[in-house]
Amino acid sequence: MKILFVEDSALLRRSMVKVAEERGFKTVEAENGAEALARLRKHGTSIDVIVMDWNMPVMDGFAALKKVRSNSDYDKIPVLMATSDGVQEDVVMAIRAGAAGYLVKPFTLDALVGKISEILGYRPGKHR
Amino acid sequence: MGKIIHIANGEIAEQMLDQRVGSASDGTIFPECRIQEDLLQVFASAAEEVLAISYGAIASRRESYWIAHNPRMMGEVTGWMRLGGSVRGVAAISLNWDLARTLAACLACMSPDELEEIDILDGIGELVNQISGRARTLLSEQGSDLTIDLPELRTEVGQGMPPPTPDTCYAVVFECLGHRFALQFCVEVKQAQLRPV
Repeated sequence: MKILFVEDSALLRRSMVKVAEERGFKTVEAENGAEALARLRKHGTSIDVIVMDWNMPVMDGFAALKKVRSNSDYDKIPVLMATSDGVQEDVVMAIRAGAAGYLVKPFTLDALVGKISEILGYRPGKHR
Repeated sequence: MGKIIHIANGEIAEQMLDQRVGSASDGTIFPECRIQEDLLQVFASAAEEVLAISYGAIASRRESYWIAHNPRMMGEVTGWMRLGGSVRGVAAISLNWDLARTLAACLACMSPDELEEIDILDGIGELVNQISGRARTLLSEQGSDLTIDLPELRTEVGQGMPPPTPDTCYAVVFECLGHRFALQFCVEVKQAQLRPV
């Protein structure tokens, strides 16, 4: 299973990648929404889930989410919003825009991997 | 005489400054009044929660201070955010480089020695971002009209608070991983909401 992590904090992104790889996932990284779209063009549907921050420079996560959902090449890839924005209206807005899940910071890395696995219907030992 | 506390190089250094007595001219906060307890509690809870969950660090509250006359950022690394709505001003989290390095290493799951300065600022930027986001969530749940702008970072001890700031500032000092950091609030409260001590 391959995860695209979209997060502008390099430190946080690094730790998310590290824990995901320790659990057997393959990973791809992007530091904003525009880079995420570029990664999708390159990796296509080999990406199984996108973990997306919201507040990022260049292109924020909500704008990127809408672009992913409106592109028939990627619109089946689930997007998990992982953001410090927990205001209810924003959560609703993201779900209505097609987010598969919403995780509010602060969260532990175990909680993140658990949420990813839940979205993927992932069971240990069952990965390509 | 009043006191201002600086947090630098792992030590607390004290300086004595003149303290302005009485009210400021335009009805901003009176030195002898408390800022709204709810606002302080929101930011303090947000800081404690973020540090515990994202950074694996426990923060304990220690002292509280009023700083009068030209409040400054207390630590070597400060993340600040502008507040708007019924309360107007600045909230800031201020710490020293040693604590900043340690916390950044916690976030990155790396050794502190492996980090460059840019990594430390990244880690503290993320800390302040998460605290402001959590505070915003808590305030919206309370039905507050307070707005919190995206945070910024500064790296100079004793730098003045960004405008608009009143002449007084309330600081709460915490202890975390053997170091101290401060939450500073420089806010104007609408006259009707002032509560005397």
